[in-house]
Amino acid sequence: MTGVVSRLADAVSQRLDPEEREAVWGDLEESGASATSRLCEVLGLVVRRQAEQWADWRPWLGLFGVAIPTGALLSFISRNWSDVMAIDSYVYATHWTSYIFRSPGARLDLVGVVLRFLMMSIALMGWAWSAGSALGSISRRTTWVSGAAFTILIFTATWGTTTVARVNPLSASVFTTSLGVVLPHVVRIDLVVLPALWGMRNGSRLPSLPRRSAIAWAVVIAALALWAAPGLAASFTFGRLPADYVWPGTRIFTKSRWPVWLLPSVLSWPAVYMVATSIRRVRFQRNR
Amino acid sequence: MLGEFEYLLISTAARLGEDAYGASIREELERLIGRRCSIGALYTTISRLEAKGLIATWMGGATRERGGRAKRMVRVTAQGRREAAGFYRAVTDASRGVSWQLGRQRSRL
Repeated sequence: MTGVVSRLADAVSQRLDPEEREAVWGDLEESGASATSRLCEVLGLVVRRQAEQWADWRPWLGLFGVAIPTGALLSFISRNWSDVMAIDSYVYATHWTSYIFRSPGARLDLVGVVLRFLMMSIALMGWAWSAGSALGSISRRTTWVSGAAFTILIFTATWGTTTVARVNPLSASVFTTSLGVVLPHVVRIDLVVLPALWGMRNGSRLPSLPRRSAIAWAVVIAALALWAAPGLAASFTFGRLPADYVWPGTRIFTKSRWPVWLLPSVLSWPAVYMVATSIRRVRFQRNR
Repeated sequence: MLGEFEYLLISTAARLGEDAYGASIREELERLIGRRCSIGALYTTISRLEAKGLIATWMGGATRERGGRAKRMVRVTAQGRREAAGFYRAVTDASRGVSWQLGRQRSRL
């Protein structure tokens, strides 16, 4: 038990600066504190240090300006797109025949599906990476809090809602198979959470990209949002807003009165922030 | 103006002189105020005072009883001494003519 508490205290102390950690561990060693006491003391210091960080505006910008909006949007988008991927994969897996390669039309369909998968994957990874990178850059020391909020939202923002694919009787059975159950989690972990963590790590180490890279990245991110915008509206609204469009037998789609198509632009915010910080860095270097 | 705990910490560090570091300040503070002083309160106050330029800190030597870990040494700066003197003067002035008679719930001017 003592070993577990000591390891926990050591893990908590990793949030401290190396020099402070060294001094604090030395003080606790010198005073002969028990493992539990060490954990409480270190935890108290970490909490105070974190509270100090949140007295600044940057962590709040990271949390409410990036982590929560992009986390919620990417949760809906990844769920919707993973449903599309699950249905297409299921259809090809259960109806696979060599005819698909021999028929020009079927071959073209397959190429189209693969390209769509690729674009969806690239878009999710790009958005997640830029959100993570902005979080790391905005406030390095509080990234773990905003990153945790982002990750929790990725998995929970869609609770209580559903998708067209899941209520459509023609495709609902796909989501009772292991493919339909596992794929959304795989998509969210591999294409959203991991790229976001990578971005956070990158943003913490390199607070601003070179200006040209930042602008090019912002253009790519905005283009992906524009490409995906028409389909994304359905990802965001379904199950959340009053439905006024009825699929035979069930209400499955919503038509919002507010400009839902604007929502994908939120995914470009982190990239815009990265451009702004790179321009600011160039100006700062010129003025020195 | 210093806070009460800040004043106590500066005074303790000044009294300990070259032996002022995290653990020794904490031990002395606990003896003075008669209650526990958390590491969190101590180190955040040290950082705050250093940011204000009232103390200077640096990493000092390691000893065996510390498990070979370095100390965070503390020295009160000239500005810190002035601030502490100002706080002491203010408390002394405010207390002049006041006689605190504990247990009688009454003060006399």
